[in-house]
Amino acid sequence: MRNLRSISALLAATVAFTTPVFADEHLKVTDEPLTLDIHFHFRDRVVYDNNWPVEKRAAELTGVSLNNVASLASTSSQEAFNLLIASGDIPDIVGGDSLKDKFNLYGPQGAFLPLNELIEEHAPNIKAFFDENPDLLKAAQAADGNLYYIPYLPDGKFARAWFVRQDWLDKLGLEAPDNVDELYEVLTAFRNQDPNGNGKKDEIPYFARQWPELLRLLVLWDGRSTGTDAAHGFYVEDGEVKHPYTGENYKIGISNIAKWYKEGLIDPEVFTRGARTREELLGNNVGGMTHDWFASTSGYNVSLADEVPGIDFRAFLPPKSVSGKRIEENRRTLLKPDGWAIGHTNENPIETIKYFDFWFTEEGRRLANFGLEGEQYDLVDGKPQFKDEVLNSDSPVNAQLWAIGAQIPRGFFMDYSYEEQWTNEIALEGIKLYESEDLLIPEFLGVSMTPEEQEVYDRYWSSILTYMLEKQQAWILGSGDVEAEWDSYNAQLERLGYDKVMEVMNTAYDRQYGE
Amino acid sequence: MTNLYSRGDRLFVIANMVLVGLFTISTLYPFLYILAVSFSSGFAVTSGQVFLYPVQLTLAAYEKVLSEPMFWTSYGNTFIYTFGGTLMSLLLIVPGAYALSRPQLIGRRFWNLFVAFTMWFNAGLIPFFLNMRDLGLLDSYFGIIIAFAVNGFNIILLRNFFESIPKSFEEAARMDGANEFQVLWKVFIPLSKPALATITLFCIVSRWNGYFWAMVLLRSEDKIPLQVYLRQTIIELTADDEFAVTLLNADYSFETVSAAIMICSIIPVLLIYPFVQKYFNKGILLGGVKE
Repeated sequence: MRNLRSISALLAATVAFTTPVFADEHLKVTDEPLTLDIHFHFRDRVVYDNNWPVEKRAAELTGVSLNNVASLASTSSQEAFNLLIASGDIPDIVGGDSLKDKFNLYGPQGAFLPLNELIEEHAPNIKAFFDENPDLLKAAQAADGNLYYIPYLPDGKFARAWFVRQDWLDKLGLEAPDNVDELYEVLTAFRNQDPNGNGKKDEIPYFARQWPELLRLLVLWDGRSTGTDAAHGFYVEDGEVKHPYTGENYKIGISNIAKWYKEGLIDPEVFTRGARTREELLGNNVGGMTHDWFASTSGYNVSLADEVPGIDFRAFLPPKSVSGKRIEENRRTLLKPDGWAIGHTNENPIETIKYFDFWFTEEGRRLANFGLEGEQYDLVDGKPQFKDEVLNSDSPVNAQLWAIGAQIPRGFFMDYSYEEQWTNEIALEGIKLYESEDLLIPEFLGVSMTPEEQEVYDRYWSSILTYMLEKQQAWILGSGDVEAEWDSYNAQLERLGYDKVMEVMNTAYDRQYGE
Repeated sequence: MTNLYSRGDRLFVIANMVLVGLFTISTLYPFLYILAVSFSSGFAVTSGQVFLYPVQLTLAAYEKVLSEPMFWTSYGNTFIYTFGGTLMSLLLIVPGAYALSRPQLIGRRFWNLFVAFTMWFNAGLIPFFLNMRDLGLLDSYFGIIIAFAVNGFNIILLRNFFESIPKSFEEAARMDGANEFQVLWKVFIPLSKPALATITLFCIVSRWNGYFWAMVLLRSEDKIPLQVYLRQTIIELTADDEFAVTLLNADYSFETVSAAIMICSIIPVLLIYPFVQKYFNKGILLGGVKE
């Protein structure tokens, strides 16, 4: 079986090479065609495909082709990775999504090669990228100071934004809220003045598809909801790692959210309504405001044009907080925990790192972002421009790109202009509005812990977070009183080991990001 | 006749009826809901309009499901795993249970404990996976069929049933010169129809629903069973978030498509149940009763 597989891989490689190669040779990694095995399973459903046009093109240009060894039956990328590690048959390259912590755990134990020296000597383009972005290099490294994977590096600034039914505002003679007090007035007006005009008080002023987006309101009282790309994450303030669900601002913020919830300004089913909230509430013309992704949320203006005549759901600037600060807490992350690493059994580490480097060259980056010239895009004034049939297809552009092997989370640097070309007008207007002010705040990219630190973190953190979220929901739903329970809340956090976790977080942080 | 029940009894009966009725509705409703969803439009479902009957009646979800070649491939595979697996299970479980029920088996107590032990303890995911790998059973039909052919519970259930068969039957057969196989084949099996039907049904249902291990042990797409395909489809269709699109314009959504797959996948099991049920009621009680 194994022989058969490698023979067929070899055959595939030969076929790829018998087709005439017109590209010049400067991207060649190796003169002898080289096939490397790759285990690449991501988003629980996509597996590296030897026949992707992007893969074939990369093989033509570099001389290196990849052969998938990941399971086509698995529907869990994490499971597939765990089984790979357990079986010990680490192939030449391992990649996928949400693997940073695993690379940084198993790398120092010998499963993956440290890449720092290889990059220094053989990967000028990767080196140039990290020289320009030293903080991203720090963030990607393991606790031992080595880099074990080449990350997928997103581009662009804003991800989620505040959206409001502008047509409702117009109808009620209101402006988009500029600060927290005006926000309160707008939501109250949505609640009481029947903006959808059906004579029923069925409006749901603020809703959230993912309930942690409700917590973005904390920012309005100078608190935070998260500092990372995920919900409930740590954040950094004045060089110190902190958690948003402690401290005076959190207390004030969560008390106010509870008050708003009680007054019916927030979806009563916010914790349970789930992924289809926007379809349900916008589709039935009852949802007024949310905090969600630019592109997809703007899309409802188009897709609901018939069902909800006059719908105008557009982005407005984040309201100013009580102290007058205006920030957008959410942003596109700079460093994904996705990417690829070199397995310890790889007999061609130099060729492999050169191959990784190819994706950071101009040609490689364009291939990873836009697909094939002449197929998906044409060069217009030196810039890739998607063809009309790609832009006007029924299938979303990024779905089309995935299908040919572009934009998959290999180690590469995304080019946001790929997305700009097919983002709809309303979203682009919103992004422009957000870019007109200085709203972005630094993102906490996480720490890599030593095994000892990790043990402390693992022992305490999950029960602390569970307790925090339990209390948070109880307070919002009104089954607990923030003021009365605040002291016991802090005491309980203390008992659960909060200080111990913060200590290892900060030790790890200082080691990783300190000078 | 009219006064068969006293007033108190009547109240009791009515209360029972109401309770049982409510219970029936609560088990029937999910099924009806899935049926309604599968025939509704994607928009009607995602905007929360479907409760009991289809809204904006359409066959789009079924068209989507039935036009996928992978659906038929995986459906065929599920039949192979279900019937191949059930056959294999019976071939192994019946003689095993028979042997364990025989007093003359050497070390009978030990073997019984040995089998029962597996009901409480198992090796866990990774060791089992490694074991299968070392046996060369990854990514094969046979691997899936043989690996889950026997479980302790079914053996013990059948053993108890065999033990409850009066000794005189066996003695009579032996008088006529029957050997062990003939005793099993001609006496025990015909007497054990309810228990065998129960175990067959257990095997069929668990095979039919088998998802996790198929996902772990298989590698090629053309060997996956229906449940893995269902899962793949759901994951595929929930990706609209990444693709920054709304599914509102589609005639189908992932809810309607997965509902349609569920309906398609449940039909064979629904067809089997009525035929086995008469044995089933009897069998599950009998298995636990000793003489």
